[in-house]
Amino acid sequence: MADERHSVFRKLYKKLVALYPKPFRERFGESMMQTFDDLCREGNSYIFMQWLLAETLFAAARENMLSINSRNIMKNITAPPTAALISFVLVLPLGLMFLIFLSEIEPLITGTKYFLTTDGQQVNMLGRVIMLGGMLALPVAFVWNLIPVVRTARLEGKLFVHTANLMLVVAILLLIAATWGGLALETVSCGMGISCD
Amino acid sequence: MNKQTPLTPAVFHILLALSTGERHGYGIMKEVEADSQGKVRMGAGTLYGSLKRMLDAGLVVESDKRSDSDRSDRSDMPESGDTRRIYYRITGTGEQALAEELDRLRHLVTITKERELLPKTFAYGG
Repeated sequence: MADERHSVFRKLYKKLVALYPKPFRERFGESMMQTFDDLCREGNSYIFMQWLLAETLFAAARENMLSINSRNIMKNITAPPTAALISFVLVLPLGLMFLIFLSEIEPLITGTKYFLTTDGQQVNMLGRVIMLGGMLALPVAFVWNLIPVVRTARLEGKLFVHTANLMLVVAILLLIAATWGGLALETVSCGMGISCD
Repeated sequence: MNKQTPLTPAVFHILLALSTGERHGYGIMKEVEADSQGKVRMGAGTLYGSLKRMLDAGLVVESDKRSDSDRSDRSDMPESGDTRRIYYRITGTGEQALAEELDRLRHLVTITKERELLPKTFAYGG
């Protein structure tokens, strides 16, 4: 009976040890299991073993929290694939809308207008959010994607290491020119009294 | 004053346990329990989390992995626990941190004595 209980506790404890960050687990995992076996052989009470499991759970959570420091987060989110993915997600709504209107594919234009405008003329709230949010997200995506490119260029002196990031940087720059540039031209022309749509 | 002090209770107890010789994780747990007269029972999570930070800070070092049967003193081992284990040893920095912490505690005890805050000792039958 005691062996059976030990076996159940050991399985649970092993699962809790697996919750620790990998470097910690690799360094102390085996020692933790040995210590647990020693405590079981000692014949500790049921309540003590339960406390031990709870304590290990809290300690695992704490170690995970400590392993995520700000430097790690910054390093991870500006890693070339992550930066490319985040930039792509940020650019996607406005980029997609831009492509649809540029390509003039009829069913898609009608569908987009249905969701983003009222009566096909006035831009509705969702349309405004996508337009404004998308336009604000463009410079953020541009800088985010540029960080790994600039970092590698400074460290290794090579510009074309992260090709995907570089292509995205160029694409985002074109999109910025088209949207912000278009808006600026429209404002200037309206200000000059040429045309105000 | 060393930047390590004041020590956390866990670090203090671990350093105190290692001050008399090198021990493995379970040995440290038992020594902490004995030093505190059973009032402090350290869990494995707290123990190994503290050991990690103490190793990083240079307060303790890992000794080579070895079997318990290599030790002449096996009083802190439960029966049939004969596996190869990592032992931990206090460093010079660890000894210095422990000495400074003990000095800090001694100073606090002196203050509490001066302010008559220590509990009175009762004598019966007088």
